[in-house]
Amino acid sequence: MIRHLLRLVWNRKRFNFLLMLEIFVSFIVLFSVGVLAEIFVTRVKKPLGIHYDNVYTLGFDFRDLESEWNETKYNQIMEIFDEIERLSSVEAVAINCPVTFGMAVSSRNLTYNDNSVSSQYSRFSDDAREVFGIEMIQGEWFSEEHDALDWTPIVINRMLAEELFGDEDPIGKPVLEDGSMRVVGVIEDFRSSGEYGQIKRFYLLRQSTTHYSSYAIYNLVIRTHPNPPEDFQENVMDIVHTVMPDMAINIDPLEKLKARNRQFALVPLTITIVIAAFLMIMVALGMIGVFWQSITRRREEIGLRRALGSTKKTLYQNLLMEIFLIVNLGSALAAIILVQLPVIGVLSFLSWKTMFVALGFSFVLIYLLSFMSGMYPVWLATRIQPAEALHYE
Amino acid sequence: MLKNYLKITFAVLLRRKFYTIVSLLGIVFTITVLLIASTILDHTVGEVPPEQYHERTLGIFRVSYQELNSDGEARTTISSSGSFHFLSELFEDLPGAEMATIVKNTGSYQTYINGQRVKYDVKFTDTEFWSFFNFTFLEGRAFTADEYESGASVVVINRDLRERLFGDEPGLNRDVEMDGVSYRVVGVIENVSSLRNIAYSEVWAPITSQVNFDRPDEITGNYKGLILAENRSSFPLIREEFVARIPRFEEPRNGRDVNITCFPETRFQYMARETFGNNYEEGDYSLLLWLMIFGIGLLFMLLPAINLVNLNISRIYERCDEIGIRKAFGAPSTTLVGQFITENIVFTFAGGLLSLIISYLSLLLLQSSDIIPYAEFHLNWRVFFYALLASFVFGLVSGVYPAWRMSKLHPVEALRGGVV
Repeated sequence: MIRHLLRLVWNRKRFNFLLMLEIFVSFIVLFSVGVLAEIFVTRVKKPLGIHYDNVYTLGFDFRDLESEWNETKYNQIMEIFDEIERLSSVEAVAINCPVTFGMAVSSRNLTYNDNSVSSQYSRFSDDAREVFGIEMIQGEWFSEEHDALDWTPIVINRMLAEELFGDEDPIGKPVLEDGSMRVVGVIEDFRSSGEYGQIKRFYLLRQSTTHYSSYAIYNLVIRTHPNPPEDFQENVMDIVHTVMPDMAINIDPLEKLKARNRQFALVPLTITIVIAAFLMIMVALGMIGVFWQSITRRREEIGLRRALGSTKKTLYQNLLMEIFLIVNLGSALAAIILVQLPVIGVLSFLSWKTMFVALGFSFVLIYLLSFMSGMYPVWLATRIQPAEALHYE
Repeated sequence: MLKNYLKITFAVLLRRKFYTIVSLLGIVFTITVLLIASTILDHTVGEVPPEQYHERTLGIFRVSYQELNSDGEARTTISSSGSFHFLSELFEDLPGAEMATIVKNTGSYQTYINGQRVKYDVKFTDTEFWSFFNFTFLEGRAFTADEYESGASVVVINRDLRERLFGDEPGLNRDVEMDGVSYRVVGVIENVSSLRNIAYSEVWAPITSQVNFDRPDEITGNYKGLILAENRSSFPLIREEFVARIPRFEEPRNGRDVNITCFPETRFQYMARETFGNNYEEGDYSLLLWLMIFGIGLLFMLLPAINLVNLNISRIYERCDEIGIRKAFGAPSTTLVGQFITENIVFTFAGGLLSLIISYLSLLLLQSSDIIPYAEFHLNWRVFFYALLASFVFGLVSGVYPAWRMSKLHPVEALRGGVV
């Protein structure tokens, strides 16, 4: 049966080749969309590592941090810190610079034995755990006892722990050659760029709240009760402006920063999907036209087949099978080439899982597409009356 | 002859409306996407008001600073904009340059009006800035050289901010507060698109009005520079002289050797280097970026083109009778090929025109959506030319193969109904 169909396809090879090419390219387009979608869906499903609802960020807009940061500023900000903590609607306040979900990132090279990786980081004070509801998977969180240490404690995320220490237990290990920074705890894969962000190596650096340090504090995070009073933001603003009258500040719910990150991630994805969808509609309409035409041109053959006893049903099946054969050839060729890509090093960031999910996605859609565009023309073919068709000849 | 071609074209297009509509949809969609993309690209890198010397402008967009240890390994690396001091020393009497301007990166300030927060972007500039760009003044003037020298607290604001701060009243001589300092408005200008990041802002103030703006020991900072060359052929001279001046800043610091990489380049060259190159090496990657843009464009056109070829081939077979008869009566292949290609190009040009209208409407929509502040996308003659070119290429590509196939049809076979 298949051999018979193959011969039919081969007989019209030049015509079918172009169709196959179209399917081939469509398959690659669908595959790209599939890869993007798979990557994003996987990211969204992973835990974020922190709780951000009812958390506000208070950013101090220093014009020039390095020259402006001094002990007076430190004392003023700590005064604001304490005032905010005293508000009845506030559960916890902490330092977090640069702010989680914000645009700014800091990064630094960490070294353990001969292993060196670069990692993003942010400064957190002891209360940050309460503000963000951070869960530890190993070790301990920062505490006031750490003030007495002559090295800075850090908490690292799972990815950094795996890449820097491998199978070793990271607790207590130094991450700089001079030993001035050591790991005290490990948390889940925390993503500071939001749920659509890539999981990156990340560590949390302890910032002490008991004494002045040369590291500027320019951002606080505040956890409020589930329903903060409506004038909460104004209250905070008043507190800041009583202490620092000229300071420019930003108070935003953390959700807002996260939404901006989401928009950054989703806009390119949406554009890709819309363009791909339009391309596919175009291909579908084009294929309807092509199939239609090819059925009209095969009237005699179809008439003959009907006259020789082929039922409507078998004819319908045969013609659809023919279309599927072409579709299979085109998409299988594309799939075979695409599977090679990670092997030869192009697109090596693709995991096998992403690869196969995207391939499956493309196969399903391309079958659906060709079935939908083949259905009507093939149905028209089965309506051909043998007598009429042969009369035409 | 051409008249005949066109007559037949219209007759054919009206005969099978399904094909016509499907093909037209494909063409319009493809060219619309290309047009919108190229308009946005053009708006970002081409000459758009208030820019007036785009062709002759070089910029210092990035200054990369490295401290190297004795093994030549980079220990400290900073890659950002330049400092005011660094740029102004390098810009002094640059041969081949007509003028140069230094602008600070835009920063965001805010003030409270009746308890409402008003946020605005502020850019600190020098006086050359006002001759470098051609702004449309609605009120007043730019700040003068005297005001600049004395570090006066004066600003020029844009139309939108005037509305937000003062309502319908004129803004001249009113006060704008920035970090507790009152600035007097001396001019109001038309809004500038945020895509033109050197010229764009909502408030423009003199660099000298800031405290502590000139720090001689700093190389990197928050300033970018633009150089206007006398003509394009003096680009190499400017580059050479500029780069030759850099070593005077490369004195060892913190006991390490210092390496500074920065050189004048056009905006497009800068974009290309950001995409392909690295911050610590000179290089011109603009050709590579052009190739990439064209490559993506062609790749995007591939699927619609194949689709159109398929449809066109189907259409030929539908017209077998016509072709057979014309061949039988002695029409040479070239005539038929000419006929078919003309048809296709007329068709794609019609699609191109339609796309021009649709793109115009979509861009208006994008503009009013405020995703890109103050952006004004105009379809200018450059973009119109792109559209024309795209339709022509598209028509040719999708028409040639089917036409060739048509010319190969044997008249007898064609009259019988054609052979695949």
